[in-house]
Amino acid sequence: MNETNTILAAYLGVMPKTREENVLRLLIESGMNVVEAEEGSLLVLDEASQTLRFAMTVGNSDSEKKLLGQSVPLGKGLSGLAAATREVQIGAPTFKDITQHERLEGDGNEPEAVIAAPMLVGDDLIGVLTAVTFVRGKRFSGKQAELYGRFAIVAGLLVEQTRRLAAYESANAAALVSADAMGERGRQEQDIVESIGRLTRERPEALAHAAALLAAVEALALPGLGGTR
Amino acid sequence: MIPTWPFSVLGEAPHVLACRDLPPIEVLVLDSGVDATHPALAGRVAAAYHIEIENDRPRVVEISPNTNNDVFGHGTAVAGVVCGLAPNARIVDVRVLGANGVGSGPALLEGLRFAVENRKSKIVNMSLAAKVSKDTVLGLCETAYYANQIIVASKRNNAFFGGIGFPAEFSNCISVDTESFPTQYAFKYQQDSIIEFEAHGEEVVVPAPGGGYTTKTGTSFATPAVAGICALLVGAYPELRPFELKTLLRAWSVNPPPQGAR
Repeated sequence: MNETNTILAAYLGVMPKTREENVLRLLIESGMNVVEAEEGSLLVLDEASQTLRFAMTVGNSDSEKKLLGQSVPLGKGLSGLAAATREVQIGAPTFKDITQHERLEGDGNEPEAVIAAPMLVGDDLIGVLTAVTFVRGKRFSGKQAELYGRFAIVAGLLVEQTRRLAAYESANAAALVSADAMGERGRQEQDIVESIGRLTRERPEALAHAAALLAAVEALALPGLGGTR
Repeated sequence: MIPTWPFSVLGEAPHVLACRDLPPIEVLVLDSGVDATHPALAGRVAAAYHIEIENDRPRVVEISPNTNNDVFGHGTAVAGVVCGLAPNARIVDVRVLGANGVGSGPALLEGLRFAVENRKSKIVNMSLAAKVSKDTVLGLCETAYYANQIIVASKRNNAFFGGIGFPAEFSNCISVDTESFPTQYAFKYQQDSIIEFEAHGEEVVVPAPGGGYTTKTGTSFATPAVAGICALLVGAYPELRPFELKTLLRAWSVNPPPQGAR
């Protein structure tokens, strides 16, 4: 398991299978191409810490190394706003005055424009999908944001379905382990239950006799405890 | 076909009214808070509140109107658009986003209730969509309508998922979508749409919290343009009822301001 997969498993809840990761990467890349962005990131909601964690960054491997596993508070920034409003948000740099000639802050390496789109399943927030551009003067339009928002919806559904499948598979595996652990005694108990089930379905009038018989066996085997019926 | 009215019936255009000395009109901004210390909003914020959630119950808390109450920058941008268009607008800042770190349906609902039942500001700007308690929101909007209050509400940016959003879809509100226009005083009436108006919401230069200016795009920033225009019209013609105001907006939508009007 490589480092990326470990982070995916830890923060995304996606099992480290390349199939899901590849589909998500494909989706983000497609979204980035549609809105002409250079980088896209998938942040997942960590409910316990009320943060959004970078689970995947596409477009720049240096950014991916730097950002993976980092978290941003849910109550801050453009991603936080997208999460709070459940709306696609578009961000741009801050300038000193209204003519927008002189930037107020930053070292020149920060994104020029950002889209933050909530990943929703119903009204449940799964995370936020971001797209960024570093092209000087470029701004994302409302139409581009709306389109990227659609990719975020699909990404949210994919993450949610993957989590569901992982939970189902995990529960199924646990049930199989439990059945094996029951051994011979468990199988005999299962036989008795199934026998009573058949009796109930096919000869319900015999149930009273069966109950009396079971009570007699119980009294014989456990004389100190007495009958329960 | 939208009829055109002669200018004598319409009175003065919004961009002309912006140059008049009009009486102040309260515009209540339900949002992420407003940075009242920003130079573009200096002296324009009349009151500020935020909604606290205590033991799962929301309550309105009044705070100083001279502080930076904005947690995301969204509300400052919205208030900046209103004040930029309507010199007579006085902002009432009600922060409903960011309480406990996230947006909260109950906080938004409490903010709207406060706007309608307590503060009773003439204009309420909602660049947000509610996601809960549709019937309650509808009831509050009805109360506002009959009390001659004007609620201006945004269509959701991602309306393809989860509907247009309310209260924008209610007929007792003025609903706004985004479009690109040459000036913020220009807007368009949509004849066959639940969302009645389109206003300028593309690459709008707005104040940013902490000072400075940034660019915003979306229905959130088209909506306060209409709220600002409403503040001008109501300032000039205070007797306007909500349906008359809508009629006037519809009429002005086909009489766009001349080139050069901001």
